[in-house]
Amino acid sequence: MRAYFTTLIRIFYKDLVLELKSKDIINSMLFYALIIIVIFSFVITSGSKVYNELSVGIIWIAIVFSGVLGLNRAVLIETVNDSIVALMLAPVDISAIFFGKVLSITIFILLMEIIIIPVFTVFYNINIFAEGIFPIYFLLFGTYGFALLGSLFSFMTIKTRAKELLLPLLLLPLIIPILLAGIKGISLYMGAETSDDYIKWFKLLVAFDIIFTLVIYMLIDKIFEE
Amino acid sequence: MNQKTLQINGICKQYGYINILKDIDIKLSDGNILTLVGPNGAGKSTLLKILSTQVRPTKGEIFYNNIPVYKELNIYRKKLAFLSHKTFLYDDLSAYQNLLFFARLYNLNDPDKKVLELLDFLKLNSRKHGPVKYYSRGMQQKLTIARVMINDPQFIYLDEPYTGLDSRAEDLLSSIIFKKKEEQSIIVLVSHDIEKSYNIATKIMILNKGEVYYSGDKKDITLPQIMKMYREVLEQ
Repeated sequence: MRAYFTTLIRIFYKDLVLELKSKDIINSMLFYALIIIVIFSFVITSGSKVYNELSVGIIWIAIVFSGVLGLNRAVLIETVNDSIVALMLAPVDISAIFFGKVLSITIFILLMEIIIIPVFTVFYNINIFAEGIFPIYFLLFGTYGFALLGSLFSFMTIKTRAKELLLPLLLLPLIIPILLAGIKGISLYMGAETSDDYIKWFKLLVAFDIIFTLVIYMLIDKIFEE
Repeated sequence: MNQKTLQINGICKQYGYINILKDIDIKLSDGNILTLVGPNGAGKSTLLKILSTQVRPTKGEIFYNNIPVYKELNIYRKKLAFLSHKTFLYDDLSAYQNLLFFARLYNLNDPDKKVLELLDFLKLNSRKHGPVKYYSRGMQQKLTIARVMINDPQFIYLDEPYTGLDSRAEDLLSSIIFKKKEEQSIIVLVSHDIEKSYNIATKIMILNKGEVYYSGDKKDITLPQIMKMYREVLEQ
């Protein structure tokens, strides 16, 4: 088990060093996410009943669409010189390599979120943490779920010709539960008067993450085999 | 020291309805260098991918030291190396960081020492902290060879290793192949350069349309005979 986590951390560390040098992933994601947030801030007018829900939806749209961009960049690093082949041939658990990659992508997206959420607060005049810090858990689990499925499909489409097109086509329908739970959960939490309704959305998010983590862990060898 | 062996029995590979390899048998032992020759699409690279566990065969088994490869996959992988014309390196990392990453992935005892030794041997010390993307083609080739040698492999698979190499890198690669042969490693090589691969081989196999056209020891066949058979295969 120790060797497993050591491999996972080594993959993460390698990605972190690469990102610190190139800043390719975070820069591209951040730029795209900020554009989405700023543009929508001019379209949506405050005061409507669904303003909170709509605004939270924009955070998630920014996360998902810029995340897809980040996923493409993250996988590109492994394909430029076929380093993915060297990784696959290393005497380590393939799932450790995969989850190391998921960890890096999750951290990069979370870093982006740390920057875009204050910007969102300013442009939309909404503080998603006004009622407490619980939205952090929605963002954490939602980002992990997105990175998990996103990494899986990025690697599955790695050898296809239209991978940039295929990735969102395959990924976006599958992450609808994450988006629903993230949007509904955070906006219900911000509404506060509906008691603990947000918890059931949080449970959905956690269940989604656990189920897909287990399924991918069990099947990853088969998926990566060829 | 135990004798090293590599044996494949009745290997077949199908992609959909297409047979890429049909019933291939190979038996190699200490210090053998097998050269795979054949026209494009003969199945050479697929066979190399199967031997290096990148692709599973549809049928047949691979044994190393009489142990089924897929029974002890990671132990086998710890002893194998695969070199293609791609570098498998990370352009933004330095030579030192690249090698250290792979050395750690192979869980070497003293990865730092091993990396420095290799950099020293390949005379890459002076630029070891510069990003690989700024290296010349020759330096990248040297570094690729270093990456392949990082785990002191006993089973070495080389797919068109001389493609794109300059003459100095070619000589370096040849000298490393001979060194590994002396160390009793088993080497399988795919190359279109028949003359060069004949010179370093101990065994030759000609593949055609996924089947063995000829297989034998180098001592049993001359270069002109190999060339003649290769031409026959090309004409088919």
